[in-house]
Amino acid sequence: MTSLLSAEFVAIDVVASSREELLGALADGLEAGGYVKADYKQAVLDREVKFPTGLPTLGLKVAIPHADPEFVKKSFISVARLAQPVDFEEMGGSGSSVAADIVFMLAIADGKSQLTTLSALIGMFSQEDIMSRLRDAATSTDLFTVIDDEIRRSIS
Amino acid sequence: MSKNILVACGGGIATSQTVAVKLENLIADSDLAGQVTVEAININQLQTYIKSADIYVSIAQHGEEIYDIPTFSGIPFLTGIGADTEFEKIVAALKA
Repeated sequence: MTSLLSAEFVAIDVVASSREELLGALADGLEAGGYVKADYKQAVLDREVKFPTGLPTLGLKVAIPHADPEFVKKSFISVARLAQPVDFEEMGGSGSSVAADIVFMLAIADGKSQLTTLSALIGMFSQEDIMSRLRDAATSTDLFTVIDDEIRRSIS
Repeated sequence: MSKNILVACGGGIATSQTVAVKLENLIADSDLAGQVTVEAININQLQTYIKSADIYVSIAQHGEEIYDIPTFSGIPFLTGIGADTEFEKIVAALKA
């Protein structure tokens, strides 16, 4: 199975003044990479309003914005660790705010076939030691390695 | 006893299926192993599927709808926080 991650799409110290700006920039990157269609960006923005994706995890707070498969060309995950947290709403409609430290933008063409990777990715969120390593990774390459290793370890 | 748990999220793609896998694993390790099925769906399919479900695990807004089956939050299974407690409640409801 090919990895859904690439070091090129894992970034640290990402600066964004708003959720919309952040989602727009990440979606533009995915479109430029050929992973999503042009209307993916709007779909992600709309979906985040209707079904927010902030997760109040231990340690680093997370958001997993995504859109429906029809907007995706090729499954992929883009990762941005933020210089300053960006506010998302909590998943599940509680209305609470989650100041996300790291964002995983999911472009998933077929949930079923990507389920092991997704489960491995989301499994990281409940492991405090992994979340500490995501927080402490000094470079984007280190951050990519932590995530990639953990997903490979989890699905092997 | 054969029971059915329904997990619904906005898309039925990423999160509901991930939570369903987590619940399946927890059930396989419990004394309910082999007696419970878990199904992940899109929230738009809820009205159709909820009729045949015993437990509903929600990851999308509850909204105004009140369902007449026990309903739990799927969020603890994504964050890990409170997952044990929520699973114990689900087990208790399955055995009720």
